Amino acid sequence: MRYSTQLHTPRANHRRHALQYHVFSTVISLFLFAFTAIALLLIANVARLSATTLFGGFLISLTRVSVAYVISCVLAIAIALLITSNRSVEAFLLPIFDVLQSFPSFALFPFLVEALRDQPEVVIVGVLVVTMIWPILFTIIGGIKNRREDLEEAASIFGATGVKRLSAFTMPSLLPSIVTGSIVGWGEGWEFIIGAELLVNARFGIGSYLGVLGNSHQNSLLALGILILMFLLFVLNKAIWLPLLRQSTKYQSES
Amino acid sequence: MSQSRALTTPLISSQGVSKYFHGAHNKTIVACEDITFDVAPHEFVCIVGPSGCGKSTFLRIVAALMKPDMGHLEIDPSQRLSMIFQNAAVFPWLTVHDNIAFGLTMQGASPATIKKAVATQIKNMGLEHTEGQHPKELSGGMKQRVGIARALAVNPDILLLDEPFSALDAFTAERLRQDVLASWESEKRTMLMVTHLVEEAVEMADRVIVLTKHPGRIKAIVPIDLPRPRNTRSAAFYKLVDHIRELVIPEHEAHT
Repeated sequence: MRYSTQLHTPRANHRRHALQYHVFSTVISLFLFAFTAIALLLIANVARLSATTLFGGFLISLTRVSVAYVISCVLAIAIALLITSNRSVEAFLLPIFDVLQSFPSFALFPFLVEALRDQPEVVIVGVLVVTMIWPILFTIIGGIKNRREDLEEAASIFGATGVKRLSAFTMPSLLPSIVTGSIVGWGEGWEFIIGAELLVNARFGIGSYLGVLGNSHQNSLLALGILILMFLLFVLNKAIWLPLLRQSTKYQSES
Repeated sequence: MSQSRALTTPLISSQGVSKYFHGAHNKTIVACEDITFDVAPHEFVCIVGPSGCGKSTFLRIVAALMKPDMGHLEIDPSQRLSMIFQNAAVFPWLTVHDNIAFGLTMQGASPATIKKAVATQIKNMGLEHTEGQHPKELSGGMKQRVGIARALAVNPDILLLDEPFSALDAFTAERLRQDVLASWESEKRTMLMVTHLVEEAVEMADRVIVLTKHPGRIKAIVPIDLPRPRNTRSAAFYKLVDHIRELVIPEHEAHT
């Protein structure tokens, strides 16, 4: 009797609905993944490309973007914390980064290719980092600037210092900014990897395959390939970024 | 202040504390100036004054969140210090339980100690059934209860209160005032509160320090000798309220 009463409390209902939502969301995501896999198999078959090579190509591109994202995110957090740590440092560094962020990443390509002739992977990841870091960095700086001062004071009063402060206060308070900046940065990363893979003539990667289709004038397949790429990105967004964004709203402070 | 308190070594000693800020066009803004007073152990001191008199700035200097530009402030280093904020300042990413446990977790307290302290505060503050909720799911009054519970969970010797009831409705504010007073009386803490509500100061404090506006200087120190629990409808209460209000109000009028 007591158990059934507890089940009907608003909190129990809320948890049940949340669980139902997660199950529904997971089923939809799995369905989307399965659909995408079938579509990839079909395009590979029609284009007479090996399905494993095509999957491998996508995974290689995904790995490149992921590695570049992790590097960009870590660098962006470190730089944002450094810039906002001191007013003089901010006054000196912020205008420099503001100018640098408007510098076109592909302009670096000739220098990177020349300097790292035998390391195309480093060139691709390097260009991606230079592209992806800016939205993450500036969103985090905005997040730090808009952070409620009394929360910072509370963290200090209650002993959050050093490494403890980083894990118990700084990172959680910045999570909404990190997620928002990451969504933009991640999207830009995918935009640039196609060009980067084409420019360095990478043997594998989704951009390389789109290049092969384009060079051989298989335009309808190229269009289909682009659609599949968009679909894959939609699936990744649905499966990773949207749940993270939803989760991060919990971390947002009310002004 | 009683004779015994006057003879005791102060827990907080402010000697000529001043704080300046740089405004637009390098103009110097005096937040507070030459603030000199002591707070004895177990004393409840309120600082009142109009908006912009630097009372919150001074409280932040006491809390070591800011450094004074002139003068010095001494606090017995053996004393544990805690603070209640105007807008609760509870961490939105933590549950009620974890917010209350925050200070103890940072101190590295054992799980058993944290569990016991949090359970006590949840019971005292009437926060049962909310432990797993996040601040966004709570009303303003409940959030402030979490803020108070978090401040009391570390069992502070000195509790700083920055206009803790001013953002709440009258009923919730009165309840929380009684809760804070009960904690002060039972645990014999030392309290330093900032408020712009004169009635609140007279209801709670042993002494009321009145600050002037621009710059915030001490205008008067008024001892409140009314017996506790205080009758907030008595003639003596209103007499003191009127006296302090007269000290504060001319400052308001002069600048509005």
